[in-house]
Amino acid sequence: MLLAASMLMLFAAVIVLRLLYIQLWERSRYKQMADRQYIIKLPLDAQRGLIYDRNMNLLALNEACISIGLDKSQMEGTATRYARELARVLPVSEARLRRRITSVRSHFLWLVRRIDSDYGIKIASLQLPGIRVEKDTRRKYPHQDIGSHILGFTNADNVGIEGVELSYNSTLAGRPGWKIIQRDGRGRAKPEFVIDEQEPRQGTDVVLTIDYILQTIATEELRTAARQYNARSGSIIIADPRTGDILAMANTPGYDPNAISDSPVTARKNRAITDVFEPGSTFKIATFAALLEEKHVREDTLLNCENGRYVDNGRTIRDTSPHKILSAADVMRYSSNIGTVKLAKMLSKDEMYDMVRKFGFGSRTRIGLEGETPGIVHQPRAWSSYTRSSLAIGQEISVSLLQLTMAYAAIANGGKLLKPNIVRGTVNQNGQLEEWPNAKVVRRVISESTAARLTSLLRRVVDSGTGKAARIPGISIAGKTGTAQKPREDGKGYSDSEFVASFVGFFPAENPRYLISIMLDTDRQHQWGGASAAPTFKRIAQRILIADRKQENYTGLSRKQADEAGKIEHSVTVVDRIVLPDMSSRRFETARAALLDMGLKVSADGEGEFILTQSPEPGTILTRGDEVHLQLFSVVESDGYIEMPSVVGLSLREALNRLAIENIEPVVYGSGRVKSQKPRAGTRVRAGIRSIIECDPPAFKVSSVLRAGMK
Amino acid sequence: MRKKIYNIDYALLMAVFALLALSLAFIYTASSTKALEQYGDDAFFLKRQMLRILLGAMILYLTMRLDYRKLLQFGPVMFWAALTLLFLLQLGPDSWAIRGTRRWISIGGFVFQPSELAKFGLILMLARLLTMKDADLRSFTDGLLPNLVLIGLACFAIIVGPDTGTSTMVFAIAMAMMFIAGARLLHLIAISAAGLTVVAAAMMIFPYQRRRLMNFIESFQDGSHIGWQVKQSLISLGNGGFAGIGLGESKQKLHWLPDPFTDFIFSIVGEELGLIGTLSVVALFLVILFRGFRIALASQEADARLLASGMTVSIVLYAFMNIAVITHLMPTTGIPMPFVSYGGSSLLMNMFAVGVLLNIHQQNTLNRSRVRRKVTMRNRSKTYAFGL
Repeated sequence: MLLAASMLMLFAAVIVLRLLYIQLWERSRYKQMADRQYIIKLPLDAQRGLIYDRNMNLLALNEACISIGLDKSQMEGTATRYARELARVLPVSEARLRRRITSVRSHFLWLVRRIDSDYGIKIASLQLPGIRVEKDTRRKYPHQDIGSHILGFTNADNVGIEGVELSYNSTLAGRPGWKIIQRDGRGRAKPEFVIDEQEPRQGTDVVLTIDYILQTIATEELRTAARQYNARSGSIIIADPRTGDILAMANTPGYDPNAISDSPVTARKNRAITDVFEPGSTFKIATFAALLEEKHVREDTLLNCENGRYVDNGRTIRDTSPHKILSAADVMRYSSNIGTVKLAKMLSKDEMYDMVRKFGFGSRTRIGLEGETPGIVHQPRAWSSYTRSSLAIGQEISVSLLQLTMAYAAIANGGKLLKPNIVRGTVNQNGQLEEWPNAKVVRRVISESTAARLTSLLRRVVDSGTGKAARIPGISIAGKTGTAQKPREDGKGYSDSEFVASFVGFFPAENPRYLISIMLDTDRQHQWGGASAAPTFKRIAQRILIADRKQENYTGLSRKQADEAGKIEHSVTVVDRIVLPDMSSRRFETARAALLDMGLKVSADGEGEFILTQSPEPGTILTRGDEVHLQLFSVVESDGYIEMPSVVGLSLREALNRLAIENIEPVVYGSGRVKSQKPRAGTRVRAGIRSIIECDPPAFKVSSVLRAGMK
Repeated sequence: MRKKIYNIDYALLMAVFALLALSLAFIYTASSTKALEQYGDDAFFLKRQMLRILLGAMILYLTMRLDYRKLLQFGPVMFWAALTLLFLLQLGPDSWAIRGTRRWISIGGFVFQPSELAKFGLILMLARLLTMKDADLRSFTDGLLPNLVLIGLACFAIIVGPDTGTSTMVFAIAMAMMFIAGARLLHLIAISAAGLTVVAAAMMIFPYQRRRLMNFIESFQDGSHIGWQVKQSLISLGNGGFAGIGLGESKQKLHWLPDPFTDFIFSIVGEELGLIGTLSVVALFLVILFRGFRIALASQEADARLLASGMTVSIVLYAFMNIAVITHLMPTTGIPMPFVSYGGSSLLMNMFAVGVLLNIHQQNTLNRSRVRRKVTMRNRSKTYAFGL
């Protein structure tokens, strides 16, 4: 008996030693484990800044969606099981989910980010412990492919990876915050258990220089031109030559930034700044600028244009239309290569090269978008005996459409090369626009008088020269056509099937407000800039004039003049028939004013300052007096709080759906109809909190239905 | 003379009361969250346990007043009744299973564990059988084997629950009693080895038990597979440190530690009161151990000695096994801590055991005051075992 007692004593001694070991010796280790498991750090995402056009129409906004997270410490079951169950409802493969769960070492991880809110209910039905459904936002581009190359897009983590979204990511993104909350073993965390919190700094809204209406016009006309002139690709830029503001920048092929995976990478290139081409005749302005500035060549200097065929230095140069004797002005008007080459012989290599570089060719414009090309300009010491002549007529040089645009802008604004702007400003805390400086002068390229003389030369091109197709009666337009063969991809000479047709022009010539540059990658048949790019220029200019009429008179024309100019030969403006434009995301007042001005009636539904949808659809042809119905919405800066909805009286299933939408985690007691809820309806709560939903037991279902009915 | 009947071992009784007081405090602190969530009353479990303690006190008093010799006669009835219940439970419809196992019988809202009844029935019976005049415990076939059949039967009835933990405990208690009664150590070791083999086999049959065992073994190999419950238990104890984090302050009870007021209530004691609390509990059980064996040694009658030591071993071994599980010295077996864990059957039966001890203590003092009787070996038929 004593032996038995001793054995029990021995057992007691072992236990006591073990307790001493755990509670004294290993104490700090367990204390650390305890402290670590009682708290959880949750990220608080910053709302990404919105992107507006120059008139505060929305171009990019944030749409509600959900993200699915997992608290690994609460998993009941293996990663394999979780992956299998989740893969049944989520748009992610089982293998990827499993890899994600097993590879991330931290307590909490995101399984999928930014998916449709509909998935929330499906996820909830799996009832997997540890799964968190968090409310989130994702980028939405209401105008799809309009302006997509400028805007760019974000990835699943809401980080910009193209366009303005990339270049101004740090401005737009803000800074995420976090909160440390105490939690219990089931991961419940109540708002009052917040230990420490760092509020996120919301992203800053960015206002672009882009004018949404002009952007739409450019996109549509580029699409039309590409179809009409069989262009594989092309770009259009509309700029304000006085400030350097880019008003529109469109490329074809285009893409919808809401569905990135549906488009090839090549469609996402902002060709107007990333791609180079040989400009051809549009480049002759550089030659003429140098001649007028340095050599005092007069417009009436006569030149023998050799009837269209001239052998220079053993190389034959041809003119499209043969001329005998031309003045310098007519060399430009008829775009004579022979005349230009002969004139260029008056310039030294360095004079030629300096002028090219002064116009900004060979340097990036620093527009503030990623992927900009500096173009290709060879140093004079690398020139061959042909190079000066080639350069004079826009060969042996590669430029981007943006460089060409800014060079023409320098002529239009009196000789100053400006830095192009894509951002007009940001919206500050008080909702006011803080404008960034514009009209930043890079350098003076030519004197004001030279600029004026060049402008008048270019006016003649449109009035009666190769650019006649761009002429709009009543409006003074200065512009230049261009045609170039594309260099072969193997570098051996030029392709005979691929051409670049271009046109750059601005108006009104006396006081230029708009500059439009067009570049089309087309075929032999449509190679002439005067035959494809110039008519496109005309159509765009006409539509700008119509759009302008409704806003301030940028063009400085009288209303009657602008009406006249816009009307002629323009397909859209038929007296009583109106093509309904896309009004979505525009400010209600401006859209309403525009529609009323067209003679349409306007009705609206909902609250807010922006237009969500319209009826009828954009593009519908209406007659005067028809009604347009607008659905409004407002942009609310989410502060992470939501209002607790009322679920009392709903069936349990309805209640769960309702809570899932608001991302409130329910704790359910009983079944049947909801009898009471906590917190009360209308209480401001943080998204993702748990609420207690008490239901009647099934036996009392009938009475509760009655009670609910009486309510 | 009548006064002497009330001669009570106060040290033993105080130790039990101290444990009961501790029990009420910790059942409240560890269960109030769950009680509030599930029943809207933070004292829901506390109230129920208080009721059981009252019931237990009555049982204690009644057993104390009842001559243990009479009680011994009820041994076979208790034993066979419990075994019948256990087997009926196995044969019953699926609705009889509670939480997937067939360990409990639910009658009118009260849940009862027949294995507790079987355990004390067996102790009563062994106390009688092992001290019979013709019981030659030195011989395996004549002395041990008939008793082993009974023990095996009881263990089998319990293990199919499945309830390997209780079964092992019953087996251990029976071995201890045989040892005290004078069986050869070599025999007992051989039997224990055989018993362990059976338990191991049983564990392999029930996948749940097997996993628990494998986890336990693996946890010592690499420290990683330590189960959630044991890990949380160690965190509770370790975080409690020397003086604890304060009564009612436990964080582990907030759904971190499973079963915080039943099998793992000792972890919460360690968290809130620290080493001071845990060692006090161990000390209280040591008091029960000393007083129990003292009562056994003081007894003049062989069956009383064996009965007292059997009861004492039952209480103390349960407590130490429970602590061993909680401190990760043994794999999780699902056995409660006597007097402290929330639960009815265990409490009532342990109160019964204390009642028996107190009765024997009274009888001892009574005997001492009379002419010392010779230690008698009872001469009864072996048919006792079958209640005839």
